[in-house]
Amino acid sequence: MSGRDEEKVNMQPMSVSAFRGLIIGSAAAPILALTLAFFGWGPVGPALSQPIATLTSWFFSQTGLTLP
Amino acid sequence: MTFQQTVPSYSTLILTLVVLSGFVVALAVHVYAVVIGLVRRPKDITPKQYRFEKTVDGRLRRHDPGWPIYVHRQWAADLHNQYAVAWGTYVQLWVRARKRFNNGAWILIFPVPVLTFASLCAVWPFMVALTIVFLSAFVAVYIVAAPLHWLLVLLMRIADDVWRASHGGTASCPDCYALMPRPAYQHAGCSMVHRDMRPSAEGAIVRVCSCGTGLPATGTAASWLLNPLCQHCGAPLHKGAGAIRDVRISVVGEVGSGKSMFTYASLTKLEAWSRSLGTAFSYADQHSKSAANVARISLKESGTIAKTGPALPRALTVQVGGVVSGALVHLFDSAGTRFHDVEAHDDMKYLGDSHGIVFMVDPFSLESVRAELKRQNRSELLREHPLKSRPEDLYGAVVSRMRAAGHRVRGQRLAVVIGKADLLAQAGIQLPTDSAQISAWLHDRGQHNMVVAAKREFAAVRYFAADLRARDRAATQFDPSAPIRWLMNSRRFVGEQARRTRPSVQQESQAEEVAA
Repeated sequence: MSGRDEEKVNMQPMSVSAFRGLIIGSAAAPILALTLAFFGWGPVGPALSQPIATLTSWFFSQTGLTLP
Repeated sequence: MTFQQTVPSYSTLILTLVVLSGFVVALAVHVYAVVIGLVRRPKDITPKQYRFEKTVDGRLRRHDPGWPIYVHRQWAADLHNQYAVAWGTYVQLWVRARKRFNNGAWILIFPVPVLTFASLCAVWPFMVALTIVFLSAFVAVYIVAAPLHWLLVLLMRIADDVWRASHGGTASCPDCYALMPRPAYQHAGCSMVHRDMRPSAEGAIVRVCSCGTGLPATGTAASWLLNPLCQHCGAPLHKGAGAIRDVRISVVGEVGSGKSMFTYASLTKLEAWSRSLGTAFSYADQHSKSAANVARISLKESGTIAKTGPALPRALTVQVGGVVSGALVHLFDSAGTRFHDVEAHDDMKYLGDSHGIVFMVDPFSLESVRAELKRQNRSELLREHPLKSRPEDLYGAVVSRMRAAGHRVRGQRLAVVIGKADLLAQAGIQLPTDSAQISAWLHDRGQHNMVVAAKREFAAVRYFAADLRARDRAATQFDPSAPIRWLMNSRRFVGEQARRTRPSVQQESQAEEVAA
């Protein structure tokens, strides 16, 4: 266990780990959902695929760029 | 298709790759920050740091040796650590890229540094976006957990205070006589002392000691499960101190008036009374138990017990009743000589803090009784019990000294007890059993000043006669525990115990209340 006293961790309340897990989960859930949605997957993928496609085509039309 | 025509297409591809790499790098940086900042090397707020932390204005604020709850301190530390690691890593990426390409050779690998710095530029908006996502997660947890915790703290504090207020709410030290609303508590496992055991930032229901053990967060529960200590001198208090009624009774009287005999005889009879009610009775500490045993053996062998030393007394404490309706009864047996020492009297702090005072009257110090004994030619009794100062003189001295020390007198009950009723009976002098008659008996024998003044100076006065050598534990006449029970009732104790027991005892208790 690098840089951390194992005894100290053992004495630390369990609630600290639980809260950290809750925070990590709360942050990871929307990131994962948005990433999957970008590719049209996941629970919100179908709902977001149309706005993302519209936004992408608008960007290319404005910049004059095209995919090779 | 000419090269010029394909440039926009390749630019789009490169731009897409740069943006994707920006997202991937920002995500990787945040995953790294989570692993390092929250899992592998978090900045833990340990009890040691928390205990001696400084406030904003630089003053040292001393907390108890417990782990603070997550949302109180650790939440902010984790938030700071998470972003310190994430943005520190991002800055390090720039620094490393700059070092790598900060030489003349970069021209040879021209597109690589350009793509690297372009990707790092693309990382920035994703860093900001992920920062907002993590910040939202931290804030969401705080918004839900912190109000819930403080609401629970409020409810638990109310419950704890209501319990303590209805069950006494004060603990007293048998050594230094200090009164305190809440004792300190020592965790036997690690010997750490928690001085403010209330639902707080260290926990609403359970607080985690610095050793990692879960302790009760309320003083009521801690009084039974941990070791209560005096907040002032650190002496051990009794189990349940501060959680059950605390009844403090001072026994005062002239040298040889039978204070010690009365103290131990009353405890013996109090034990018998408790057993008859089916109520628990126990000596609350080893000192009290040993002293009672020694006194019992001494009484059995020699018919008397050793005179109380001049030192300040340690309370003899018994617990009568259980966790819900019990009481800790402290008896302070003061040496008679202390009342003749002008300086010594002021350090008897327990006198003023008592709920009631037992004033022992030695009937052999009454001139009319001595005259009667002389008439009967009972010289051996007169020799055994030489003439001392008159009871009302000592009464005046006690009250005036208490007032001079700033103690309240008006709020206390006074039980005037004529001891040695058995010896008087042997001499053919029968003491009355009723309070009013005993009062009149004393009034007629030259103690009218005390009788008149006591009624005015104390909240309630009652007169008793006590047989201090009663062999028969069941005897009710001249019962030495009667004054103690009457004084305990000043804390609504006896009545409450009776309500939980037999109807016959209820009637007895009600009769006592009416008489009082």
